[in-house]
Amino acid sequence: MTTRRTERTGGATGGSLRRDGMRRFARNRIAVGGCLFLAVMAALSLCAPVVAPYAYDAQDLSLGATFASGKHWLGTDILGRDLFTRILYGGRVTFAVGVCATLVSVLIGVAWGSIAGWAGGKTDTVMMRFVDIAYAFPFTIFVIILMVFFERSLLLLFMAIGAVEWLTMARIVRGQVMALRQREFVEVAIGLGLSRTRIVLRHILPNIAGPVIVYATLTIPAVMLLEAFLSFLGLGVQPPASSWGILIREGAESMEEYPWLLVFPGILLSATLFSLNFIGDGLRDAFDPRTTRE
Amino acid sequence: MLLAVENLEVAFHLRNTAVRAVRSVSFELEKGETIGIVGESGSGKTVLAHSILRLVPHPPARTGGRILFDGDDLLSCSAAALRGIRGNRICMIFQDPSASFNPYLRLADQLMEPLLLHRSITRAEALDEAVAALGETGIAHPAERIRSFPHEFSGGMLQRAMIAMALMMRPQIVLADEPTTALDVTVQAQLLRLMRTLREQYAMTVVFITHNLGIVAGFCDRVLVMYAGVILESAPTGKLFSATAHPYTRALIRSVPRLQGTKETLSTIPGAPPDPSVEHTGCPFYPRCDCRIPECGEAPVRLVEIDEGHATSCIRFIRGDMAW
Repeated sequence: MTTRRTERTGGATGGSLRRDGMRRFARNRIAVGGCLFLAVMAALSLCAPVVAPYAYDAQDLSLGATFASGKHWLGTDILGRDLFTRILYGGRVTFAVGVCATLVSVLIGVAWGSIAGWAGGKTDTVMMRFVDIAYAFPFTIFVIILMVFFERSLLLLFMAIGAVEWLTMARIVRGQVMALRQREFVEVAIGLGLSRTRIVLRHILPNIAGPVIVYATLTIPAVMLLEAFLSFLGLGVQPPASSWGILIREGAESMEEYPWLLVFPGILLSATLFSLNFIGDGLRDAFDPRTTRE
Repeated sequence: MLLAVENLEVAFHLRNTAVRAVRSVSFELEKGETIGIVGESGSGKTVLAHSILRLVPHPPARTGGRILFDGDDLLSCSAAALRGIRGNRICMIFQDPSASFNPYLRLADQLMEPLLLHRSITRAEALDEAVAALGETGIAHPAERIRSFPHEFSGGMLQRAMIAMALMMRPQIVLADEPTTALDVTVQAQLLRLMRTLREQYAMTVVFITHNLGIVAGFCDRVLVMYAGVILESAPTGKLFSATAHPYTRALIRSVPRLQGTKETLSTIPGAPPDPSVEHTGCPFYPRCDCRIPECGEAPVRLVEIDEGHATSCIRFIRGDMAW
């Protein structure tokens, strides 16, 4: 019993859960592959002005829609714009929205949920009823109101999406915190003289990291799709600027004549979402100390 | 006198009822002594121990009375003052070792926590102290073992770690809430031996909660017998067994299985402990007592000293009209 699984802890010097987790994550090939793919796509998008062979709004009406060729690697759209270029530029918007809106939703959701779950009682009731009301509010109307009152901008897009996505996160976190609060090790921590803040930060949050990470990786794709939806309604990114959501919408319109306009952006979006899910699973497994490792 | 509990009341207020878990309990704790609190499940002994560190959640609980420690009333002192006492001057050893540690933190981090919190020392010094404390509890290779996660330790090892965590602060009082109940008997014996050694080494004052009279006999200087939130008898350990002065205590002693002697059916106490939400006048053990007289159901319960350091609440013993 006493020597059980000592190989897992012995050997390395120093070391924390974080370092151990990184080591375990590095062994997960699918997750690392996902990371590489995302890194390459993000880097290419970020450097779009340098890397892209054409300007994102450069039209060649005489060319029209063509399939992939040496000159246009992924073909051109109906207006003769280079699809590869537009994907790179679109990636900037899509990644920015995905990362920023998700960060906003994680920060607000975790803070809100853990305060409500830990405090309980009336505080909890008031905070969670607010979440319920926000949930029930029609999203499109909310965005349209925002558009009417403020300038149409990317920042507004982040805010609108972030304001909606944190609700589910708050509910998940609150449930987890309420369950953890009853656990004996929390009572032990109180008995050791730790303050409430310290208990939440040090004992509760690490325990909910798993569900939070997984839900965050599910939020990124959801946010990307929301952006596409808003752009479709004309409330998001406006042509000639592009995002993956816009490209997919345009592609879907001309799917029968020029299928590659849908297929290429679609493959990229799917690959991105797959990568995110693999990374999420990998992170959750890597940071659970009870994960068995062969 | 190190700790004085005066008329402690703990009641849980639920929707329609109030459950009085601890009823007007008073006792004193001298420096260096080990006091045992025995009783059946639900007799209020854990609530009593937890309320000393104000670990009973408010609400639903409400407390009354005073718990004096070093001149301060623990029930009414500020939260900050209380945090300075918890885990530092009064430490608690909890019942279930496998649930008492955070599964996501290494034992090193958890053992270092009280040291870093209550003393101004560096992480390296805290780690050294934690390793030393873990080694003292008989865990081999503590410097490597301390890097384990809780699930990599057995229940007995975790309870050793728990004992290490409580004792390394050199607390003035250790509250041990059934520290060996969740473990098997061999481990239990080892841990009791360990606690006895460490208690002598550091001249500790211990409040030991248990339902096991055998442990009380070998470990405690003085015993409080608790039933339905009330202390029925308080005696030095020797006198509790040789000059038992309460029918409930006698019934408890009788229901301990013995290795020697004739084979006989293990005696049990007929009936069940009273419903704590129902108010009772008189002795709470009255309905189950085989020596009861009508008066027992009416006279209010109070502990009366019948011999030096030996107090009982049984009116028949107080009067002296009963002997075994």
